[in-house]
Amino acid sequence: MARYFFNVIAAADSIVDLEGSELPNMQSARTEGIAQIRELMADAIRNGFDISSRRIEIRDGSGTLLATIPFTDAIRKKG
Amino acid sequence: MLQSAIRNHLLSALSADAWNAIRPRLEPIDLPRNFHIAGFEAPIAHHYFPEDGVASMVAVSAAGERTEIGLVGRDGVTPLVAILDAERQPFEFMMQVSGKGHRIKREALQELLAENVEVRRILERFALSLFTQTAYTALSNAVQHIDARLARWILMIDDRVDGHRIDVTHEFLAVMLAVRRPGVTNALHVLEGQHLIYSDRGAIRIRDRGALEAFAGAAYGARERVQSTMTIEGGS
Repeated sequence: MARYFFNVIAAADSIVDLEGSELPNMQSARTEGIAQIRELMADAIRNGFDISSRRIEIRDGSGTLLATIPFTDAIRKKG
Repeated sequence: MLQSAIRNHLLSALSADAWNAIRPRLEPIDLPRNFHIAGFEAPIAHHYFPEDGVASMVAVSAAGERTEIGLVGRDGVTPLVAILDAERQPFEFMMQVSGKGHRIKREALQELLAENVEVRRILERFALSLFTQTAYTALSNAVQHIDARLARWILMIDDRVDGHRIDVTHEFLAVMLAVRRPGVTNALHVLEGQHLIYSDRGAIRIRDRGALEAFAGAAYGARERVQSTMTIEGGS
């Protein structure tokens, strides 16, 4: 288990995760990141906003960047 | 222990006779955060009457999904009692905000309820008000935005604690509100941005209670508000 930190980067500012989540591995961290993105986007849509240009940066406890997930990676077009 | 010093609404609403019947069975107890009150479908050992602090009821699905479905502080008793003498309930019960209160052994309370109609009526009235609270939480979860739901939760906690500081992690709030942590962090930023709260790591303080209520709008009203004292005659 390791602690992963999920920061949301937007054009104007960012939301820094000060607590992190204990997860077994990077794969789980990516899955968690995707789930977080979908929830944030759904909430924004309910308010009439499209935040798909944002991204999540996953960092470890020492601040090292482990992965970047654009919000668009979390959804697939469906006609 | 003087009844006049008691701040729990149910205990302080008892007549002198009923108070004298329950008083010897009550044990004062500190209730720190995470204090285990009762386990999911586990035999209930005690019922708790908080003076200060907030206990959470958490529903847990077969898939392990969890969310808070009720809050109990000085307004009531937890776990719920006086309905079917249920010895176990499908919820986790724990202290969410530190405080203190009194507890009574389950058997002692069952004996008292069998003998004393007044105590039973007061506990049944609380059961109805808790049912109403959970019903309106269901409504809130279904229709209200996370910002309003968070405001509602903060106000309900504030109704039940002394001081205006709530020690809680974003992860904990995420479980309580059934959202992921960034949704909580986001919502806290919104409330802070509107000068309604201060949010430091691990603690929330209300900055403007009136404005926070106005922000919550329909999410916080008569069904959520805890009166400062409980009357026997009035409904909840």
